[in-house]
Amino acid sequence: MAKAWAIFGSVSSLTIAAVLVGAILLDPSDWPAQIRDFTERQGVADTGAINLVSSIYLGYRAYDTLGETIVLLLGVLGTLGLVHVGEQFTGGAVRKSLRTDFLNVASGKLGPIVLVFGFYVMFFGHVSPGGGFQGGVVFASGLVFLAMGSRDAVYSPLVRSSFLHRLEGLAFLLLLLAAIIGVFTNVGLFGNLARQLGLPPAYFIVLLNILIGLKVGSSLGLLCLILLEKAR
Amino acid sequence: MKTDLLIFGPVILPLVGSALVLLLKFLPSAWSKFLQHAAILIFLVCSLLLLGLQYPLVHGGQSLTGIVGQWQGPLGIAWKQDPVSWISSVLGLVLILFAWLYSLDRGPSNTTFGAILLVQASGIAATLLTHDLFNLFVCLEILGITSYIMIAMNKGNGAKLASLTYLLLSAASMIFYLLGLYGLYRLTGALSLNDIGQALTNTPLTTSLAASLGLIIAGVALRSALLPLYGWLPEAHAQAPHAVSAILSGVMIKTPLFALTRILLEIPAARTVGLPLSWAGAIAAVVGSLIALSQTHLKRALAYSTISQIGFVVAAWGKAVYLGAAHPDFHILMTAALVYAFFHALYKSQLFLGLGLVTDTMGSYQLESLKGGLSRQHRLRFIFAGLMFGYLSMAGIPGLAGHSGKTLLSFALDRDIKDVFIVAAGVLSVALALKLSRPFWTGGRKIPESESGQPTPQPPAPQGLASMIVLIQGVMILALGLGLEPCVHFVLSLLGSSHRPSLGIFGIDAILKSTASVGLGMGVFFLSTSRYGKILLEKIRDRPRGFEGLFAALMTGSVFLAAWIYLAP
Amino acid sequence: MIETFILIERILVGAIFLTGFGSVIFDSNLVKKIIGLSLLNSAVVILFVLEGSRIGENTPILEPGIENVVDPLPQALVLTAIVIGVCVTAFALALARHLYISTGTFDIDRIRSQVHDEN
Repeated sequence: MAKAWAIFGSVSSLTIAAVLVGAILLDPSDWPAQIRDFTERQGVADTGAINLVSSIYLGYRAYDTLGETIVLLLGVLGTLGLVHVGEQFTGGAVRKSLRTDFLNVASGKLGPIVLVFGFYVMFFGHVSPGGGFQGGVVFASGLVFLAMGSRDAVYSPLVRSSFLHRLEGLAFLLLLLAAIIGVFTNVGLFGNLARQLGLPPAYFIVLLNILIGLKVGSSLGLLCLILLEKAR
Repeated sequence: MKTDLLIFGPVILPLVGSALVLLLKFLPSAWSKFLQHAAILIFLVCSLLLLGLQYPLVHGGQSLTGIVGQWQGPLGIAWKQDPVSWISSVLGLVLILFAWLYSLDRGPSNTTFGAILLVQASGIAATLLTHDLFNLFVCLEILGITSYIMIAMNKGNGAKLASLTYLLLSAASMIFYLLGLYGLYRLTGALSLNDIGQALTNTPLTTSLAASLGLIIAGVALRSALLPLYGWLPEAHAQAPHAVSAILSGVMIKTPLFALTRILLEIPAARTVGLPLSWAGAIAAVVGSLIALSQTHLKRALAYSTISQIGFVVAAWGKAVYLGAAHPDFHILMTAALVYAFFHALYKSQLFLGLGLVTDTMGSYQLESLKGGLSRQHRLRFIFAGLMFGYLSMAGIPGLAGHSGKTLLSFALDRDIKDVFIVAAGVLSVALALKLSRPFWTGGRKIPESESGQPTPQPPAPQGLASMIVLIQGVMILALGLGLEPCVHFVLSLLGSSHRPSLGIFGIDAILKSTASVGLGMGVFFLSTSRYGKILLEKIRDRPRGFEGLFAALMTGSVFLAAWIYLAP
Repeated sequence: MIETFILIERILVGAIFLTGFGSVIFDSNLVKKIIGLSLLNSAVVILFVLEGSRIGENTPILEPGIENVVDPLPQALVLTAIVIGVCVTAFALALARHLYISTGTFDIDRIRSQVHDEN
């Protein structure tokens, strides 16, 4: 009896969802162009970034970006609390057979290259389709490469979880400071600091990109390492 | 600039505190733990002080608006601080402070918990401050993830499963919220609420608009456990650690509700959902109390009671939103909702914290095994003294916050059929208070002995900070209950109304009403212990509930709201 | 009216969305539910970026001579939404892993009955 109710509930959920999704997706109106026009006119002058997407999430809507780094921070804290380092999930024997010399060598050697690429994507985010997040994710994958490429006892200092924790905390604090300084120098929260100092406003964007990239990179890297049970 | 600092202080300060707490963990000194606790205390108190400083700016119905970062143009994130959000922020911070102090003694004691609590304080202030749909999404996700983590901090699989169920339901509903946001952006080209409201005055009401609004409102309503979206609440609140249950029931349920006020008031097409929401609240008030009466697990009973009490708040709040800010009754209804929310938060968190001490000492959550003259146990006498206030408040005894809140609510809902529901739910609350306090007043039972004949070693008596907090909250319940009129006048003047009703909590009318209510409640309680009563309650307790039901409720709620928006005149 | 091509694209995105949602409610395996959640996230992300790209032709990087770009706002919004989705998925997986280690199964019905018995 309970099973019948469950199936009825599931089927009706799906049909109602289909109806609502259909109503929203099949809307024939045109996509509004106001925001596109506004950023095309003003974006570069206001924020200094020619990548308009960067100008939005690091300029006009930087507050949302702060919120999202908070979610990353919490995600890492929560996952770390649940996954105790050293607990065996799969049997040790299974794990050993997945490691081959080729994997160790290739990933270990590729790791630093990926890290450099990650930094490139971070630094040039305001002129290329990159930015803090994208660079951070590449950075995190570089960390995973390094971790996978390390032999059991030899771990690159970059991959130690204490280092990553500290990097994460520091980047977060610096990001908050960058936000607050705007308040104190009369441009409002997350206001463009560089303009106050007389520098081209793009400098501020680059700074934010680097901080976010480090934060995202260390957080995601830590998350991956924890879930891969390679966090030391 | 100065206003930016003042307004955003309660958002930024706890975050800075949290970052410091996390970094201080790496300081290898004995001072590290002390510094971390000191940091948490300082940042919480400073945020509260900043909120206090904002009072002259929101007094009298004024509100402050602006754009974060002071950008010109349609793209920035709009914020707004008005009296409703101000009061809710104060409520949130005060309760978090209480719960954190309790947790120092009894609750999750790691500093990760403190850091997450600070982020939650920041998230609450941010959610109430925001005037932008996407920013609301981010803030709700922040509040959500802190809740999932804190619920899962309890030992045992029940807590993890409750957290995961809540997570899946809530994350899915937030994705539907994003879908609704897509629909609204497509129609209006803006994300800020006043821009959307303005743009929609010229747009015809299409199915797409109705569906988008329905999904957005349902997504936020899920966080506030409105009927029928309450399925996740009992397990989540019952399985969490005690301090966390107090915060969840006290603050996390109410913040999204008051954030929803903005959406409904700014978008003209959406205001009509206030009516069905108000009815949902009235029905939830009765249904929640009834299901609470059928529970044998102490915390689950309290959780269902929360669902019922939120129903009370929503009954008044929904009607206020439906009538609109220009209607003369708006202020008294909104005041009733805010005051009741505050009073409920106080006595519900006290019950969770105090009964948490009791269950920890006695080692069981089941009412059956707790029976037995707990009041005789010297160790628990102190706690019982404090809990008395909470129980009497729940039972609606005049002079305490519960009765005062209900009087105010009935006054505001004057001449409305829903008042009947409120009264009925009040009677059921009396019965519930009797049931939950039963371990304290039924006859004694010997302390169980182990096989060898020695008395089983009893855990030490709870004394210290945790029980102090319970007692302080009890005194506050009494003080606020007696001081109903000043409270109401304060809130009304804050909202900008010059209405000064006189609410007699000790008048003949009120005394007669509450005597009748208590009498009926006792009758219901004795009925519930009778044979037929027990069978009926067991049927209610074992009704079919499943994971699928949660989603069915979410979808049904969304489509109902969409249909209401589309079809209602 | 909507052109056929655009309609097909929208229906496909809707199909991904509903597949994800269906997986969350119908599958009894916890990991599959979480994968469904991830699918839901991806569907919304694709929808935002896809529809935002209809009003222009170039990527929104204003190198000299570029105009008529696509709408940059949906792309900025989904950056945030993707990261939030990843964090929630990670935490959900950690919870599922913990439940597996203590109960030995990923099946939600069996876990529920085990938890019920524990209480």
